[in-house]
Amino acid sequence: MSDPSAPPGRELLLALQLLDRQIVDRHGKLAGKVDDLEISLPSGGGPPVVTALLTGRGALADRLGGRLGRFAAALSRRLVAGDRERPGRVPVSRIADIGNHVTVALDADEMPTYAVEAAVRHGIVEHIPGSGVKGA
Amino acid sequence: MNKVLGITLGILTAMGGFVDIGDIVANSETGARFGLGLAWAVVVGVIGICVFAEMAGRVAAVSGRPVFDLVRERLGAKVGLVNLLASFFITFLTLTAEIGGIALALELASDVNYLLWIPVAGLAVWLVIWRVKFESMEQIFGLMGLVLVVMAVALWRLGPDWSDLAHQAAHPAVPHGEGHATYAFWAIALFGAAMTPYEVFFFSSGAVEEGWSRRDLMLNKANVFIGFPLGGVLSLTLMGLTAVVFQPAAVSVGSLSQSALPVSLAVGKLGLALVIIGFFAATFGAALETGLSCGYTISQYFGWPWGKRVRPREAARFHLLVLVALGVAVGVGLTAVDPIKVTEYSIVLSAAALPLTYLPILLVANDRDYMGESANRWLSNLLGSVFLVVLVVVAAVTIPLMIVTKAGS
Amino acid sequence: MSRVVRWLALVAAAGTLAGCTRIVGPVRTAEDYELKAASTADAVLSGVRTAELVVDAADRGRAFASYVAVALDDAEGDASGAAATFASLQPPGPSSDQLRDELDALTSEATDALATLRITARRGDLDQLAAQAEPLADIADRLAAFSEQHG
Repeated sequence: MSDPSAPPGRELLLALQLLDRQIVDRHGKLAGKVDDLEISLPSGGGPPVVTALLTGRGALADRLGGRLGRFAAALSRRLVAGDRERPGRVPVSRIADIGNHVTVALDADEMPTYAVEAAVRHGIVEHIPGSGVKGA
Repeated sequence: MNKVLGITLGILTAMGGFVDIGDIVANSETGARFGLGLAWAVVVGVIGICVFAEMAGRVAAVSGRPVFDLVRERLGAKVGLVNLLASFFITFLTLTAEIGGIALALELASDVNYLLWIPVAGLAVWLVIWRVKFESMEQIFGLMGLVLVVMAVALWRLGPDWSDLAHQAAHPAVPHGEGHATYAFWAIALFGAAMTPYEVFFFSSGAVEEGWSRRDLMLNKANVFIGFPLGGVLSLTLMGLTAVVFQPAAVSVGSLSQSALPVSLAVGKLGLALVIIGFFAATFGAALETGLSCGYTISQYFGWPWGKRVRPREAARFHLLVLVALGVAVGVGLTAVDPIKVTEYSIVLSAAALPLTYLPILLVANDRDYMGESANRWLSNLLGSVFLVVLVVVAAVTIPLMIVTKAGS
Repeated sequence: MSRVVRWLALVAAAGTLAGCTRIVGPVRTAEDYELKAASTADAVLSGVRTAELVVDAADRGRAFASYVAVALDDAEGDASGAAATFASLQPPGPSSDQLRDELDALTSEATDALATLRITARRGDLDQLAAQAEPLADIADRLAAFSEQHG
């Protein structure tokens, strides 16, 4: 079964062309990488379907596995508020385009992984003078 | 006309920015010990960095993504992680060495103990990263580094036997009293100094920061194929200086003050001032690059927003990483560990990790998915592959040699 | 894959640590001790000759005071560091004691002379350096002779 939100007729090799790709929000901001894929069995029967991209919150650590991976995943979930059990989830319906990177029809701050970036921003970086000035 | 200026500026910046504390230490020490007998190692290293930096710059210009960013998706998360850990560790070690180098240069100018300069250096580097525009940063320190050409003037004023020097360089031989293992070790050190991984991370990320596109491929080639080799000439000049002044006196070089001495003897106070400014610019520029690279590598692996081209609050984790890396580097420096020793280790360990950091570049530059028609042609692939074999051999022997020679002593 | 990586990392770490340690243990044989003495003399000689060059630069007005002070301080540090390392070595036997005393006398002379130069330079009295550096040439020659004899 092909991804329903991809342009019709395109087939993707998941491991090569979707996994570990950069996620970019609707404004072009960087928003993490595709750490893992959520694959579900449709209730009405049929082959497995990709239902969401998983990003952040220990998803990568879970995928890499091993003792270190499980430890890192648990640590990551402790640090970030939200649903303790589940990684950051971007439903497939929100994917706008898949090319060199994956564009999602969301703002970066709507994404579940934004929490850590926000925490660092508000907790630390914003307090340093000049953080709002473009340094490039 | 503007294009010519842009290219010239790029070349000059690359030339002045090529030298860092690793090059200063490695070229000074080997010149005093082996004369120009290891000049070939610098030449080979320069060719290597040119081949791979060109690829890294091309990848960034064509795909809009720096090469390290693409390592994870091209090679997988696990391999990417190993690459990240090794690259980050080495880049951080190099950052620590550069901060030490800045402090040593400031000590030469002021006779204030270098330990007092280390936190100042760390703070100054961070402030520049935080506030100064990327292009300005590159140009200021790259052009300031150009004052190192005073070393060429010094070498000429010393009036050495040029044919003898040329002979030494063209007929590499282990001098009497030195072992083959030590000779090989120092060849690897020079190699590692010329090809330190952060140079490609930074060059590639920098291309994206400056918004390079396909139109800048020419600029990329000019910077790399003219700027870097000219920078290599500066390194070799330093080797020549210590060879001429120190080798006949059986002096071994172990401090930055010794590296500046030949220029002082040959040119006088002005030359001395210029070479100290040059050392400062070289190490400060490299500290900026390694500091930013500490942030680039981790952010690019995890897909976080990165870079100076967005406001700091938009790349909070990136900037926090840089801040922490600088803080820890300052901390390490304050333990009074000898910055020259840290430098030696950083270049040797870089040499050991080179295949890990360079293989992905070769793979990504060949990938038509990202590169389209700009993917590697046969020459880049030939040179890249040959170098990779060399790098693997170098990496394999580095640690054993380090043990056998007790780190080159 | 991860097992290979882990093994490689361990080897690299072990190798790095091994390369790092300069722990100088007891020297077993008199020959080794003699060789170490010679290389110590070389290191001290290097400091002395560097100091001579620095003083020459200062004397000819080719270097400014802050640089001269740091450079002489570095030279002294290199020389005294090498001497101290050697002094910490346990001589393998009574036959090596004479060698130790001989080298110790030489290196003390060298480090004293270098210290005097460093102090003068730090005070900014660059014009006095040349006179105070006169003993260095002879000390250097004797160090070189010692190294030649035992190396």
